[in-house]
Amino acid sequence: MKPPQTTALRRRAEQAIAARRDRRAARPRRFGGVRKYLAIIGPGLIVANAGNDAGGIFTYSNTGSKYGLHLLWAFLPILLALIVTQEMVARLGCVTGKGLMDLIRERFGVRWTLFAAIVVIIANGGTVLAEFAGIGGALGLLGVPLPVAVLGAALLLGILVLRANRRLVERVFLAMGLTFVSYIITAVMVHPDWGQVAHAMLVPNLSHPPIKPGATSYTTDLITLIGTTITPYMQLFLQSSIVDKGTSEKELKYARADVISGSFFAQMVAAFIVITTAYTLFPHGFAGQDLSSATDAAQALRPLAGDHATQLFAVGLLGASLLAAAVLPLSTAFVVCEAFGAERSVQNRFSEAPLFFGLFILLLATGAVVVALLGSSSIAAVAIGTQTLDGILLPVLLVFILILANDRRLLGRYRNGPFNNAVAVLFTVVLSALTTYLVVSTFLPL
Amino acid sequence: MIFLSDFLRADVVDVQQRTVGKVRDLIVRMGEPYPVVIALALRGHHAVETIDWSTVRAWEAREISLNVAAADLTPHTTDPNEVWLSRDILDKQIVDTDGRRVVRVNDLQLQASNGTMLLVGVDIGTRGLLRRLNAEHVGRRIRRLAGGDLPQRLISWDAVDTLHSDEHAVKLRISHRKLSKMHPADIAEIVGQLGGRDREAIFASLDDETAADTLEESSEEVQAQILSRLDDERAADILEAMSPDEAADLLADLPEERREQLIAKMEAEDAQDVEELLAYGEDTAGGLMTTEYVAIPASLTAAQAIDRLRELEPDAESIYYVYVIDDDERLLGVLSLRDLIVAQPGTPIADLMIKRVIAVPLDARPEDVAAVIAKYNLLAVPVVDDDDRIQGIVTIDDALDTVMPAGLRRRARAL
Repeated sequence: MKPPQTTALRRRAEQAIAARRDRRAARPRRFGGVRKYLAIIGPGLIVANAGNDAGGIFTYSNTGSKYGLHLLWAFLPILLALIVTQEMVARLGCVTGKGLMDLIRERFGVRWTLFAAIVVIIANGGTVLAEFAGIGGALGLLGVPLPVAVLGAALLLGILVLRANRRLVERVFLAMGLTFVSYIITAVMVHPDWGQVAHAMLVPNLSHPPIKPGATSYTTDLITLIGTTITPYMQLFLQSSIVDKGTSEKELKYARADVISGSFFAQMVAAFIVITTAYTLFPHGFAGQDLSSATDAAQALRPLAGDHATQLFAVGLLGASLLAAAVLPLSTAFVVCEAFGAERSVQNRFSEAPLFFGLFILLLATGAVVVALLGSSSIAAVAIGTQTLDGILLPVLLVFILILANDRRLLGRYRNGPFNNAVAVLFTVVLSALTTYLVVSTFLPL
Repeated sequence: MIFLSDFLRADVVDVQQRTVGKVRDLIVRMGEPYPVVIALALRGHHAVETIDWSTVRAWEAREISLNVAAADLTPHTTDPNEVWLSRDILDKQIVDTDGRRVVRVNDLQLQASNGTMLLVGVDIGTRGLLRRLNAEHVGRRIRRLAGGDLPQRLISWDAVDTLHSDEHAVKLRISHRKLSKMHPADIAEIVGQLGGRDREAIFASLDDETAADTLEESSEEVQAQILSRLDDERAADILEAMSPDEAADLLADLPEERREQLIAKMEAEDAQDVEELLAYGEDTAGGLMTTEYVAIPASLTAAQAIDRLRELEPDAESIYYVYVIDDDERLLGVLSLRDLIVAQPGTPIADLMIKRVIAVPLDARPEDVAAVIAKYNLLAVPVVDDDDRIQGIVTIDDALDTVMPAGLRRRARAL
């Protein structure tokens, strides 16, 4: 209720307000669109670049050192598949306001949810393993013994994630991970033949150097490359962060722009890692064989950092691995609990949310213990092998995403169009075929 | 106890014991106190895909027998209030209005009563989950090894509110308005646990007053998200129903463009209040104050003042102090409601009022405002400009919010 005012006072106030409105209306709105984009931006960029974690670094390094530029053709198709997949997930998040596991539970019921949860736990558990391999590898380069490094990191991460300011921790690790932009500089410094690079990227070519005995097959490496670029956890994470941000369907175009630019940037960094290692490691006896250690992978940065290449690589790898190792176990536990309606908050006591804390600790501890037991000689193999696992499990999640993205009741006019479906179905079929071929050829020598 | 999961996938046989199909879903008509099962839907493609419940003769855990032949079946008559339990409620999130939280439906409890089947409860526990996986007995056996039993966690249908935000939402909400009867602070707690579309749906079902109170209790991020999803007219209506200081705080967090759109849609009077408040910095007495206060001219008598109060119908929170002003809105004095009521009706209020009014300047810091209120034991303190003209008041609850740590406020929900 307002105080009784004289009419003169009121008129004066109204005039002032009208004048202010006119002044604002006269102001140009040029930056409105850009500002909106900046408000929505984030999830897509962060998530796509989270793909450049320990598994990613090792896989891309291995791709370049083992094949030179011969696998570069796969990057554009994978980029297209990445964008199409992420766009579906972003759309599901914007329109429904729910997480991916939520939607699977509501659309497919308990049994399928259990199946999806198991797939997600295995895939993410594998990725956590890769992160600990990264932590062990990075700290190993700095002289820390493996068991101390991984078990210490698991303990530290457990305490940090549950007790400390998670935002701050994430920012520090993200900043460390950005060290990998140095691959772009190194790639320029080694003066690649850009014509050759463009040709290798644009013209699909299945020829490749002979693979030495004991190294993984071409099919495996292709699946690994896909699996590390388009990971199951990325899809869960992207949708969750869009839901958290509360992005609505009205803002879908900005979310799409975010997804597309994020994917481009992530793939660009990945391609530069391949180009760098193709010019630094490939010609020096690495052709056709798998990277065996972090020390070898670090040599790729030698043209930029000289004798400090090892340290530079170690800092970047440590940051990227710690970031993912901090985020993955927690978000995995969260989405699984969400789907089953279990308590899920770090504010709970253990006895109030046993499933949540149990899963979190299980993932963290398994990652650390397994890497410690396997020993430092298998670090690169673990980091890369888990990405193959991600690639094999990805089609399962893709099928769920595809069905959901086509659901008329769920998305109405926002459901998939023919282009999306064509690309996504083709991608799912190709990836499933590769996986089937891999499984069959592993058990039946052809 | 009977559960929906017992019926799903059960065989349906006709009067001659011939298999008709398998149950896909149960269809209920929403109603008070409990929804009534009116039909069952069959899995797969059949000539008749739904069967009226009146043709069900008997049911057991895995078999439903009909009292007619398969050839004589006719589809059930669709009802505008019908809901498919498996499709529309099972596995979805609902609000437990007693527990004041969001839970997921693991199973639905049914009860036979006088030949009808009623939906009476919601299973939100582990047993419901295990039952769906056909593993309830295994789970219980394992739990018994450790002593005890898996508890049933059931909520009565009376105490839940569905959250449907898709096209079937409207039907479900007809008989379910329990959520809107909860305390706005509790509704805000629930809204905070939900995704954007469900929030939108909840706000669509609340009246302007409740929506405004709920929004005031929500966190800043939730407020901004809800306002970005509501259409302008509705958002403006809710803003009008909020107290001007809360509305101004909320608008201050929105992008400028959206803020102007909304203010333009508000009633001129409310818009003016909000615009005035928006001009002050957030961390000052001006940003904290509300313009809902009572001010009267000094020339009135006590009786006239009371009449004026009635006329103005001010908000409860600001009526305890009546400020006395001159023609230029300069603050002359203050009286408590008590002073006014116990005074002789004919006494001029100039004689009753306390002339040395405790007031704070527009740019006072929130902590200082809170300190003043605490020191002088006030319920509200007036905010004045450089010429001593009253601009608004800061009430004790708003002052308290600024000095109380966020963690403490959150803890209060459990009490």
